[in-house]
Amino acid sequence: MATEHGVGIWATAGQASQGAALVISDPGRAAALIGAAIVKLDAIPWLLYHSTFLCFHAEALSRLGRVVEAREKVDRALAMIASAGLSWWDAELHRIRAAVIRAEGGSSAAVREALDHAVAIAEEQGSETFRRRAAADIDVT
Amino acid sequence: MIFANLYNYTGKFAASAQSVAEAARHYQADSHHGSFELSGLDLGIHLPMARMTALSLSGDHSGADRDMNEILRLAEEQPQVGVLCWAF
Repeated sequence: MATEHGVGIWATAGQASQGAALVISDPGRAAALIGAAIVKLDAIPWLLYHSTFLCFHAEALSRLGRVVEAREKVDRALAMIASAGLSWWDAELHRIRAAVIRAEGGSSAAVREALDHAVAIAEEQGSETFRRRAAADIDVT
Repeated sequence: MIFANLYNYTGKFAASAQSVAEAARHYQADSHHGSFELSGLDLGIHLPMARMTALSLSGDHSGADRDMNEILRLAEEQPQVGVLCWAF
Protein backbone atom coordinates (compact mmCIF):
# COMPACT_ATOMS: atom_id res chain seq x y z
CA MET A 1 0.00 0.00 0.00
CA ALA A 2 2.79 2.43 0.94
CA THR A 3 4.63 1.68 -2.31
CA GLU A 4 1.45 2.06 -4.36
CA HIS A 5 0.70 5.45 -2.85
CA GLY A 6 4.28 6.72 -2.87
CA VAL A 7 4.65 6.88 0.90
CA GLY A 8 8.23 5.69 0.71
CA ILE A 9 9.23 5.86 4.35
CA TRP A 10 6.44 3.52 5.40
CA ALA A 11 7.25 1.14 2.55
CA THR A 12 10.79 0.95 3.91
CA ALA A 13 9.51 0.51 7.48
CA GLY A 14 7.18 -2.22 6.26
CA GLN A 15 10.04 -4.01 4.50
CA ALA A 16 12.20 -3.89 7.63
CA SER A 17 9.31 -4.95 9.87
CA GLN A 18 8.55 -7.90 7.59
CA GLY A 19 12.17 -8.92 7.95
CA ALA A 20 12.03 -8.52 11.73
CA ALA A 21 9.07 -10.89 11.86
CA LEU A 22 11.11 -13.53 9.97
CA VAL A 23 14.30 -13.40 12.07
CA ILE A 24 13.66 -16.75 13.75
CA SER A 25 11.75 -18.66 11.07
CA ASP A 26 13.73 -17.50 8.02
CA PRO A 27 16.87 -15.55 9.01
CA GLY A 28 18.22 -15.51 5.44
CA ARG A 29 15.18 -13.70 4.07
CA ALA A 30 15.07 -11.53 7.19
CA ALA A 31 18.68 -10.42 6.69
CA ALA A 32 18.02 -9.62 3.03
CA LEU A 33 14.85 -7.61 3.73
CA ILE A 34 16.25 -5.67 6.67
CA GLY A 35 19.59 -5.09 4.96
CA ALA A 36 17.88 -3.59 1.90
CA ALA A 37 15.68 -1.41 4.11
CA ILE A 38 18.65 -0.17 6.15
CA VAL A 39 20.42 0.95 2.96
CA LYS A 40 17.41 3.21 2.34
CA LEU A 41 17.29 4.33 5.98
CA ASP A 42 20.97 5.28 5.78
CA ALA A 43 20.02 7.92 3.24
CA ILE A 44 17.51 9.61 5.52
CA PRO A 45 18.53 8.74 8.37
CA TRP A 46 15.57 7.78 10.56
CA LEU A 47 17.04 7.57 14.03
CA LEU A 48 13.92 6.42 15.86
CA TYR A 49 13.89 2.98 14.29
CA HIS A 50 17.34 2.72 12.74
CA SER A 51 18.97 1.12 15.79
CA THR A 52 15.97 -1.15 16.30
CA PHE A 53 16.22 -2.57 12.79
CA LEU A 54 20.01 -2.86 13.12
CA CYS A 55 19.34 -5.03 16.18
CA PHE A 56 17.02 -7.35 14.22
CA HIS A 57 19.57 -7.41 11.40
CA ALA A 58 22.33 -8.43 13.81
CA GLU A 59 20.16 -11.22 15.23
CA ALA A 60 19.40 -12.59 11.75
CA LEU A 61 23.07 -12.41 10.71
CA SER A 62 24.15 -14.10 13.93
CA ARG A 63 21.70 -16.95 13.31
CA LEU A 64 23.20 -17.32 9.83
CA GLY A 65 26.73 -17.55 11.25
CA ARG A 66 27.71 -14.21 9.68
CA VAL A 67 29.22 -13.15 12.98
CA VAL A 68 31.53 -10.36 11.80
CA GLU A 69 28.63 -8.58 10.10
CA ALA A 70 26.42 -9.16 13.14
CA ARG A 71 29.03 -7.59 15.42
CA GLU A 72 29.29 -4.56 13.11
CA LYS A 73 25.51 -4.05 13.24
CA VAL A 74 25.36 -4.34 17.04
CA ASP A 75 28.26 -1.95 17.56
CA ARG A 76 26.78 0.53 15.11
CA ALA A 77 23.39 0.41 16.82
CA LEU A 78 24.92 0.89 20.27
CA ALA A 79 26.93 3.88 19.02
CA MET A 80 23.81 5.32 17.43
CA ILE A 81 21.84 4.94 20.66
CA ALA A 82 24.62 6.51 22.70
CA SER A 83 24.80 9.56 20.46
CA ALA A 84 21.05 10.06 20.04
CA GLY A 85 19.88 9.10 23.55
CA LEU A 86 17.20 6.83 22.11
CA SER A 87 17.54 4.08 24.68
CA TRP A 88 14.26 2.20 24.30
CA TRP A 89 15.92 -0.80 22.55
CA ASP A 90 19.04 -0.84 24.79
CA ALA A 91 18.19 -4.00 26.72
CA GLU A 92 17.43 -6.01 23.61
CA LEU A 93 20.61 -4.80 21.93
CA HIS A 94 22.69 -6.07 24.83
CA ARG A 95 20.84 -9.41 24.68
CA ILE A 96 21.76 -9.72 21.01
CA ARG A 97 25.31 -8.55 21.82
CA ALA A 98 25.51 -11.53 24.17
CA ALA A 99 24.45 -13.85 21.34
CA VAL A 100 27.12 -12.35 19.09
CA ILE A 101 29.79 -12.76 21.79
CA ARG A 102 28.75 -16.40 22.11
CA ALA A 103 28.91 -16.87 18.32
CA GLU A 104 32.36 -15.25 18.30
CA GLY A 105 33.54 -17.87 20.78
CA GLY A 106 33.66 -15.44 23.70
CA SER A 107 33.80 -16.59 27.29
CA SER A 108 30.74 -17.59 29.29
CA ALA A 109 31.56 -14.74 31.66
CA ALA A 110 31.44 -12.19 28.84
CA VAL A 111 28.14 -13.58 27.59
CA ARG A 112 26.73 -13.51 31.11
CA GLU A 113 27.95 -9.94 31.65
CA ALA A 114 26.11 -8.75 28.53
CA LEU A 115 22.92 -10.56 29.57
CA ASP A 116 23.11 -9.22 33.13
CA HIS A 117 23.50 -5.74 31.66
CA ALA A 118 20.41 -6.34 29.48
CA VAL A 119 18.39 -7.43 32.52
CA ALA A 120 19.56 -4.42 34.55
CA ILE A 121 18.56 -1.99 31.80
CA ALA A 122 15.18 -3.67 31.35
CA GLU A 123 14.50 -3.53 35.10
CA GLU A 124 15.51 0.13 35.26
CA GLN A 125 13.26 0.99 32.30
CA GLY A 126 10.34 -1.10 33.53
CA SER A 127 10.44 -3.31 30.44
CA GLU A 128 9.18 -6.70 31.59
CA THR A 129 9.19 -7.90 27.99
CA PHE A 130 12.91 -7.31 27.47
CA ARG A 131 13.73 -8.51 31.01
CA ARG A 132 12.07 -11.86 30.34
CA ARG A 133 13.84 -12.26 27.01
CA ALA A 134 17.27 -11.62 28.55
CA ALA A 135 16.49 -13.77 31.61
CA ALA A 136 15.44 -16.64 29.33
CA ASP A 137 18.82 -16.43 27.58
CA ILE A 138 20.57 -16.49 30.97
CA ASP A 139 18.71 -19.69 31.81
CA VAL A 140 20.19 -21.45 28.77
CA THR A 141 23.71 -20.04 29.21
CA MET B 1 1.65 13.18 23.31
CA ILE B 2 5.06 14.64 22.61
CA PHE B 3 6.13 13.68 26.11
CA ALA B 4 4.58 10.22 25.72
CA ASN B 5 6.64 9.59 22.59
CA LEU B 6 9.77 11.08 24.12
CA TYR B 7 9.43 8.84 27.20
CA ASN B 8 8.87 5.76 25.05
CA TYR B 9 11.93 6.33 22.89
CA THR B 10 14.11 7.11 25.89
CA GLY B 11 13.05 3.95 27.74
CA LYS B 12 10.77 5.48 30.38
CA PHE B 13 7.74 3.34 29.75
CA ALA B 14 5.80 4.02 32.96
CA ALA B 15 6.20 7.77 32.43
CA SER B 16 5.02 7.36 28.86
CA ALA B 17 1.86 5.55 29.99
CA GLN B 18 1.16 8.37 32.45
CA SER B 19 1.58 11.00 29.72
CA VAL B 20 -0.78 9.10 27.43
CA ALA B 21 -3.37 8.97 30.21
CA GLU B 22 -3.03 12.72 30.73
CA ALA B 23 -3.28 13.37 26.98
CA ALA B 24 -6.38 11.19 26.82
CA ARG B 25 -8.05 13.26 29.55
CA HIS B 26 -7.39 16.48 27.62
CA TYR B 27 -8.52 14.86 24.39
CA GLN B 28 -11.79 13.58 25.86
CA ALA B 29 -12.51 16.89 27.61
CA ASP B 30 -12.32 18.75 24.30
CA SER B 31 -13.69 16.08 22.00
CA HIS B 32 -16.69 18.13 20.88
CA HIS B 33 -14.72 21.19 19.80
CA GLY B 34 -12.63 19.61 17.06
CA SER B 35 -9.39 21.24 18.16
CA PHE B 36 -7.60 17.92 17.71
CA GLU B 37 -8.33 17.83 13.99
CA LEU B 38 -5.29 18.64 11.88
CA SER B 39 -5.46 18.55 8.06
CA GLY B 40 -8.34 16.09 8.25
CA LEU B 41 -6.59 13.83 10.74
CA ASP B 42 -7.97 13.25 14.21
CA LEU B 43 -4.82 13.34 16.35
CA GLY B 44 -6.52 11.03 18.86
CA ILE B 45 -5.15 8.10 16.86
CA HIS B 46 -1.79 8.74 18.50
CA LEU B 47 -3.21 7.91 21.94
CA PRO B 48 -3.51 4.13 21.45
CA MET B 49 -0.26 4.10 19.43
CA ALA B 50 1.89 5.50 22.24
CA ARG B 51 0.02 3.44 24.84
CA MET B 52 0.49 0.29 22.73
CA THR B 53 4.27 0.78 22.67
CA ALA B 54 4.45 1.36 26.43
CA LEU B 55 2.20 -1.62 27.22
CA SER B 56 4.01 -3.93 24.81
CA LEU B 57 7.44 -3.20 26.26
CA SER B 58 6.10 -3.29 29.82
CA GLY B 59 4.87 -6.84 29.25
CA ASP B 60 1.10 -6.24 28.91
CA HIS B 61 0.74 -7.91 25.53
CA SER B 62 -3.04 -8.35 25.63
CA GLY B 63 -3.41 -4.64 26.37
CA ALA B 64 -1.01 -3.81 23.53
CA ASP B 65 -2.99 -6.07 21.19
CA ARG B 66 -6.20 -4.30 22.16
CA ASP B 67 -4.63 -0.91 21.40
CA MET B 68 -3.22 -2.17 18.11
CA ASN B 69 -6.71 -3.15 16.97
CA GLU B 70 -8.00 0.26 18.05
CA ILE B 71 -5.24 1.99 16.04
CA LEU B 72 -6.16 0.06 12.91
CA ARG B 73 -9.87 0.77 13.42
CA LEU B 74 -9.22 4.51 13.76
CA ALA B 75 -6.79 4.55 10.82
CA GLU B 76 -9.29 2.87 8.52
CA GLU B 77 -11.94 5.43 9.48
CA GLN B 78 -9.89 8.48 8.48
CA PRO B 79 -9.09 9.70 4.95
CA GLN B 80 -5.27 9.84 4.83
CA VAL B 81 -3.64 6.80 3.26
CA GLY B 82 -0.26 7.76 4.77
CA VAL B 83 -1.75 7.37 8.24
CA LEU B 84 -3.12 3.96 7.33
CA CYS B 85 0.37 2.90 6.15
CA TRP B 86 1.82 4.25 9.42
CA ALA B 87 -0.71 2.26 11.43
CA PHE B 88 -0.05 -0.97 9.55
